[in-house]
Amino acid sequence: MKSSITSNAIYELESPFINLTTFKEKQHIKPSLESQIPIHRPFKSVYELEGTEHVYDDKKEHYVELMDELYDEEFDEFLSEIAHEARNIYDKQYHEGFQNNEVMAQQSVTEYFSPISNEIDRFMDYMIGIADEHDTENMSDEVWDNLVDQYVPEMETTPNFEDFGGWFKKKWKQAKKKLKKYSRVAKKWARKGLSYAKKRALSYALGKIKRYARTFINKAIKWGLKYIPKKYQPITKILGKRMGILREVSTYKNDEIDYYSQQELDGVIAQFILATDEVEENRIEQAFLSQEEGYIDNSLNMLDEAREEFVQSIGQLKEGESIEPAIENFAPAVMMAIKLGLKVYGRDKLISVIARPVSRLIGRYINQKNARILSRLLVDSGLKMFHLEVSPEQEIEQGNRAIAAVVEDTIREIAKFPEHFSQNEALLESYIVQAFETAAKTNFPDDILPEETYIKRPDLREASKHKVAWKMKKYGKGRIKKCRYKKLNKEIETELTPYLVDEIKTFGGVSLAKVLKDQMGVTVNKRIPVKIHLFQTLPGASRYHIGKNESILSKSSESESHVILKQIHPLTTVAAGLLIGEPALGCKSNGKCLINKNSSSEHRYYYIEIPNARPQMYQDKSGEQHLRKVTTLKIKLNFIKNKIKLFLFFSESDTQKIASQMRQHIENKAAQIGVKIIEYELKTIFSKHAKENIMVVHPNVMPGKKSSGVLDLIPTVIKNKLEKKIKEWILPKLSDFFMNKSSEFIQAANENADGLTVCITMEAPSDFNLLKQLINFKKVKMPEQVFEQKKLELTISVKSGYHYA
Amino acid sequence: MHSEFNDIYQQVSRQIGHWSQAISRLSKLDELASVASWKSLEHYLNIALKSRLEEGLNRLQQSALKLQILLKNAKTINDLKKLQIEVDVLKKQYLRTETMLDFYTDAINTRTNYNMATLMRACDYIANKSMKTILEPLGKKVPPVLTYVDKGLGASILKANLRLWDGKTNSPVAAIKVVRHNLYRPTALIHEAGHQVAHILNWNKELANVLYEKLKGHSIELAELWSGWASEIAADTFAFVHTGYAAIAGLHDVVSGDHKFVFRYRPLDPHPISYLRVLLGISMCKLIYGEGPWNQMERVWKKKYTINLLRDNVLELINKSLPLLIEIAKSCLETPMKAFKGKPITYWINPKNVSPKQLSQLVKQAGLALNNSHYWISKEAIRLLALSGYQIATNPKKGLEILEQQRQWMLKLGGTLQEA
Repeated sequence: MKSSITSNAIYELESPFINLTTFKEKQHIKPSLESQIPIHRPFKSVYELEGTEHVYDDKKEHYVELMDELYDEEFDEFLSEIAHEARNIYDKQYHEGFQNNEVMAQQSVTEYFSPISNEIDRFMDYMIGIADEHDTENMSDEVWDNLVDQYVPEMETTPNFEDFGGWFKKKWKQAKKKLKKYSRVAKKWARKGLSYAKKRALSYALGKIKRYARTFINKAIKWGLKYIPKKYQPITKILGKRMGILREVSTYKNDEIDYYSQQELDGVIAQFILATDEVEENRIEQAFLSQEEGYIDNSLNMLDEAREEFVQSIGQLKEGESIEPAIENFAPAVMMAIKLGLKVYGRDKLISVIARPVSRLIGRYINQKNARILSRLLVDSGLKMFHLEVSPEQEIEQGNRAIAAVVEDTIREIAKFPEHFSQNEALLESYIVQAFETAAKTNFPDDILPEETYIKRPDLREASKHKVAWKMKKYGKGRIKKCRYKKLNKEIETELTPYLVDEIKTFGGVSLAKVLKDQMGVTVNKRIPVKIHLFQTLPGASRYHIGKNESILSKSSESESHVILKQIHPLTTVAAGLLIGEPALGCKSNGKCLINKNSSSEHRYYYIEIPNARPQMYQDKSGEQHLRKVTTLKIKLNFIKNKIKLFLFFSESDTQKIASQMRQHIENKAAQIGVKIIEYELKTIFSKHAKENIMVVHPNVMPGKKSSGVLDLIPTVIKNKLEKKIKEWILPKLSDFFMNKSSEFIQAANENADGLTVCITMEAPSDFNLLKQLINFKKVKMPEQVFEQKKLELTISVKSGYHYA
Repeated sequence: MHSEFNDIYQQVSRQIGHWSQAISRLSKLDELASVASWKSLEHYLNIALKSRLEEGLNRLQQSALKLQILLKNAKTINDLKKLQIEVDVLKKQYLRTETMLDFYTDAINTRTNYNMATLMRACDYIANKSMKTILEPLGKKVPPVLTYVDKGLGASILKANLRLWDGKTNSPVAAIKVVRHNLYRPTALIHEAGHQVAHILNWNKELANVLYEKLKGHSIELAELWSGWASEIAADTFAFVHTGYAAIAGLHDVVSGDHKFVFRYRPLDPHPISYLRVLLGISMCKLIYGEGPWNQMERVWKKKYTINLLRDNVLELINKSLPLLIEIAKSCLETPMKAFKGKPITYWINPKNVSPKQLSQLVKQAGLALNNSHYWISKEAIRLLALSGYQIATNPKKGLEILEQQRQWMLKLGGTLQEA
């Protein structure tokens, strides 16, 4: 779509960073008067969404229910860590000379994970043995679990098994939990007798699950390696398509998820359990087990090498020599790393759109003298923090690195320009300058321009109270300087105050106050002096890379990465404004950084260094340590069972606060605390950042943490009403529960567990079906008022620990 | 062909080689204490300790490297003779560094098994928390604590930030010895932490002056005596404000013995005469809580240790001190001090929080979760210690049961602290 707003004014290439007004002669474009924006009426009495209405059937419903039953939140952590660890090992080998032998590198990664893969095989064989030897049809789940739990993993009995930090054992436990879930479901469905699987023995089903699980682990490792199949379609997509299930409506792109989806395995197992004949079973099995041909994406490693070459090229430039050829060589690597290859930008275009303009923009900074000035400014503004004694050569190199970072960021921005920009050269030029300015203000020190320039153009620096610049941090050890993120050259000293930490939100819209209290043992009830460390990930990297590399955070074994990651928070503009008084240092993702914890897009994050704060751990019955959980509300909207379920998890500190009042028979105070917490949680869960806390179980929606994306299909006014009504329906009953069932609460609070969960199950209100139809793209006539029921049948129960099923 | 240069060169070269290799072996911290022992430390403590020890080792390695370079560049016999002296210096430096490493690695190696390691982590936490309560609001840095278990009657401390054996490295942590018999009743930990706090806040000197000023009107000799005991009295006061009667009961059991021991007076000994020390603790209880089980302790104590048989000089000191004990307790607990920003210590740590009444209120609030919930255990670790100390003192029949309960919550506390 062409822009309709154009004028001569925006074509002026004036920027204090540069000394040219245009790259070429100006060419004026006639402004288009046509407006192609369609006019929509804001309100409708009949809602109809674009899409085809789907029908429901039993099998589809069973499939969705099964997928929901199989989902395990903890298994996501397993997959995420497997993926990161795999890539880490591969990258290490890549830079140690394995780059020409992907097969060898892959093999060594597979070998590294063999203790887990082999344990999975052995465990499945063990369960097959139980199934063969016992009458499982009449066996209760408890007896089954009991027998299964008697399995002794080989890694525990092998004295020389190297597992410093217990990483493998922890990962194995997470995998085992999921496998047990599969076995229970297979047992249940075999007994239910609805499918082809029931005709086979349980051991047959477990044999299949063993095969699928093994394949899945290999796929998950490959995913971690960024192995890109030539032709890849997720199995859930194939199944969803075949069964007429909607693809989830996601708030973030698939490539932002840094690990393989557990739904791939859940999907194939659910399909196997529900298959009606051997042909159906084989068809899906073939699709899942087939080995996709492909290659490992080495674009980030190649960018590291290209960046080093580029820095060297800048250093070797002679007087009057152009940087253009070096940029020409560097640009493809930058573009490949953000998945934009030369097919989008042909060589000619690469030169005219990127290399030439960028070389002219950066030209004035390229000579030894300027590089040294740049470096000196960097040193003055905080490089000393790293305790570096900088030699004259290093000074020049630091300056050249800052220049390279500006070029890299500018190219990245240009590469992301919409196609229509390149059809209008004047427009393109002005946007290139804008991209350059953004890159320069990020990577150059804040006093590179005269102060009066900043007064005229305050937008040319990101901070107003601090003089800062972002610096690429070397990632890991090794010959080549690998870069996965930048760090602000300054730790910013500030103070935390009660209202401030309450206002700042971290992942899922949770307040920073809650995280600090429950997970770091810091109750901010007064001013607390802290240091803030700021980071910015490069495309393709995630918080994991920061946690792994920053000595202030890591210096620890793998087993702690989940603890470390919990301390790296998204630096929204609000957080940047409130914490350090510099909103422009916040992430440019417009709050998206709050949603996806595993995003591998460019985001900004922070870590708060608080004196004497320590992670608050909980030790489970097996002796394993976990970071304590924060108070959270999760909701399951089950359109198949026609129920709404709320899982209100109270952190251990909130649990004991309420229980303490109950023990002293001050139940009204206990109710007041409990109700206040749920009111807050309800407000949070319906905010745009907490979508993952709502799960939708609908015959036409793929279940899982992204399922709540379909709620975008529901008009806001209806969602708001539902939120309000849920509050109205549950609060009086919950208050009664706290007042009259305190003994149940106290009993759960006395258990050896981390917190407790209050489960509230509601029979769905009459208008719930409207939502079901809306999600199903059905034309729906909306009544004047929805969810008008005054009361709703609901049950409340309480269990110790965290539950969401 | 022999030459003096070659002869000396060979000898020096061998020595430098030997010490360089020894240093290289010494630098492998994971070989000095087992990986499991290092891992058993709390995460932050492991980092603090290892990085400081590595600093000392780096210095040693640099010295060895310097000698290797000097040897390579040696041209004359004189150069080699100078090197011979340097080798001796290196040897001494090695031995000093080894002593330093041995101390810490021995301490770490007392964490012989999972339970012992977990209990020690709990002790680290309790001592650290006791310091944090006062140092943090006063804007002082709280040093990490490394506790280790050893034989003997009483606990001891190697304070943080003192110059160590190598003469260069400062002790990175407060290393506190807990004795086996008191492992499940470790109020002495708090006493030792009190020494560290007093050192950081310069409290000893100020308390000595306060005691001197308070008592000089009665007798200069008495004033000098009590002010000379200030460092131990400060630590006792610190243990009392944190754990109340439990601290006094713990102290009683350590310092009781035969008459000779209880009335032993050694000039310049910083420890008060045990007889008076226990009675001062009881006076603190009376002052803050009024009547209580400590009255019974006082009766039995005074009956058991009669002062009639004492030497004249000790008898006189005791007789003069006894009527002043409440005043001395007041001076310790209620005198505003510079060390505490012009407030008394009780302003920062209120001993009433561990009064029998408050402890019983804690039991009511937390119920069965008190010894079970990681929230209560980590939040109230010190008050739990005060509670079990009080319960054992007042209900000795249930002593074993209470100690087992204490062991269980300490294991739980240690288990919730992030391993390295």
